[in-house]
Amino acid sequence: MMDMPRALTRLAVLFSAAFLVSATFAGAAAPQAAEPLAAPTGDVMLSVSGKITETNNADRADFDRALLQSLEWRTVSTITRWTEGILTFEGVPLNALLKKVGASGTKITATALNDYKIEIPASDAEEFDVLLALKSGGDWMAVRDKGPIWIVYPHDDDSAEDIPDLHAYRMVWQLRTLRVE
Amino acid sequence: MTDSAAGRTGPKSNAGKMLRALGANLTTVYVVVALGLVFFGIAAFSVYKIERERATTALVIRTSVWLIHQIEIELLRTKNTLDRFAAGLPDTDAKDVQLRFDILWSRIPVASTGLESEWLRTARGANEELRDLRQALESFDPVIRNLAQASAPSILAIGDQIGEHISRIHEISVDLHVGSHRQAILKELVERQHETAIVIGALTVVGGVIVVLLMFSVRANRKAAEQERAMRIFAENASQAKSQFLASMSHELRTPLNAVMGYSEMIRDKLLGEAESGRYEEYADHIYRSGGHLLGLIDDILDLTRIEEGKIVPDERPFDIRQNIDWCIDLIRARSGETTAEIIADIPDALPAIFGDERLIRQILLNLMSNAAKFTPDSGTISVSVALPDSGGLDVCIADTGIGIAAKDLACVFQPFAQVEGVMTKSKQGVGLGLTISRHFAELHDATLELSSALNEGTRATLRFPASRIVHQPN
Repeated sequence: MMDMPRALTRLAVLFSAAFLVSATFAGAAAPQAAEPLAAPTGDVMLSVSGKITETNNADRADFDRALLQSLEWRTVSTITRWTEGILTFEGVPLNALLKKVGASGTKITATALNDYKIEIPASDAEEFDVLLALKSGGDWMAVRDKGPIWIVYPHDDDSAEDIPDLHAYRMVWQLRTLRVE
Repeated sequence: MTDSAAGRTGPKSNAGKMLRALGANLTTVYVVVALGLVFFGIAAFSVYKIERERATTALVIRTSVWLIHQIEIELLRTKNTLDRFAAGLPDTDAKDVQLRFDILWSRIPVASTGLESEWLRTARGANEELRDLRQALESFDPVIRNLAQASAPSILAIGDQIGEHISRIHEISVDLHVGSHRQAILKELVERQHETAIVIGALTVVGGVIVVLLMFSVRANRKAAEQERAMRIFAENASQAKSQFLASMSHELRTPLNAVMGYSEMIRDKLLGEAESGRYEEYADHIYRSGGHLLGLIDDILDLTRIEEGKIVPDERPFDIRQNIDWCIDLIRARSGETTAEIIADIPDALPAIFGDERLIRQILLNLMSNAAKFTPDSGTISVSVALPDSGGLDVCIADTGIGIAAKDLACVFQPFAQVEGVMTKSKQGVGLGLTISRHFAELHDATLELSSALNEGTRATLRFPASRIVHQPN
């Protein structure tokens, strides 16, 4: 029983790695600067502000679901401190989003719908493969399911007790804005 | 160089000794090391476990309090937003209400599953309240989804019900903060820490006792082994000495006996015919001499045996030493064929008496003079002198100009049956017991018998009586 989810995790990590490699090659082939940030057409889910070069709404970058989906997409399986068993998340790697908006800061302040606010080092994005998850178990996450966006720090530990406090604090659900500083 | 080498030898041999002792008890050492590792492992594991438990408890207390607060806050916000909407305030629309309601909704599963809410769920009435709240939210849902058609009283009713939940959640929150629940979990944790400390302490004490016992056992084993070895070596030496003694004795006894047998057979069978009767007398003389030698030998052996068994009790009284010296000199001179060496006596006129067993002292003197005569060539001299040293004792010195004894052999001439190689020839048959017996007899009189010699120059034997043995008789 334990082996299946773990195997899935490994598979997911492998896939993500493969995806990352292909994405890097794609990025090298087509410079991002050539593609300006499009304006959102649906409800705005995420607003990014601060030290960014790409914007689509005054000095900030607004994203609807379609815009986010157009970015790099990754699947991650992990346990969390608030759920049972292993969950499979899908979404945009934080790193990909930061690249897309041309972020240059060292820290990011994430704010949730309920005004929960926490500072995240920009280096976490790469170091811990942080994901902006939009889907859980194959379904879009509603506000009631900690959606529409949940910052996920993947962990393949067996025990939730092994997840560092700082990662737990930074796993902001119902994410609304990111401010790069 | 030599000093440093010698300096190193001490510690090195000590270390070697310890290593050998360790090697002999290798099993014990393994057991001690293994036990130590086991104890350390158990202690480390216990500490790790209690530390982890403490960390987890601290975590779930912290997070559970946070999560119950979040529910309370979202309940308040939802009620506030709902009230504003019901009041028709322009800054609040149906979407705002629905968002707040969804956020509140999302808090229920967070407080119901997962690690962080573990402790929250154990609070009094928490599970029931979470279940009731979920059911209440589900029952509000149709109204919230369709606020445009909802009646003002139904919205206000929802607000009122949320208010009731606020006070119930608040009670749980207070209980988690300061209630008996928190004290119970902290007390349990402290108790478990104490238990672990007691277990580790007991393990340490037991381990220590075992190590001490094992050390005692190692020491006792080593001591026993050393004693056993010493006894074995002693027994081996004793056995070897006995065998050597028997071998020597048999040889010494057989030689004159063979002569007795051989010559008597020749006489009995008249091997040389009747005509040679003159030779038979010579043979009879050989037989007589051999018999005499054998007798002396057996006497010596008996003396030695009695000495070794401590059965000789000297018959002590004052006696004249000069008389005895003279008697011995006469005897040696009289012994035909023994020597023609000159015997010079240098004895003071006035001599005190010696307190001791006359027979034993005479035997010492005779042995020493006999030895001197035996090993001195006919052209040599034997001098017998008596001196009265300042110590108040009396020294008898018998010096010869004989073949002497090499320094390396000097030490062993007092051993029973000692035969200095190349010296004991057939013509100078010696039992090798004379000096041994003489020294024993001297010791019985608190006297010393010293031998000094140089090869081919001569030997000097000195018998020293202490002052305590000198008797000055009134003239």
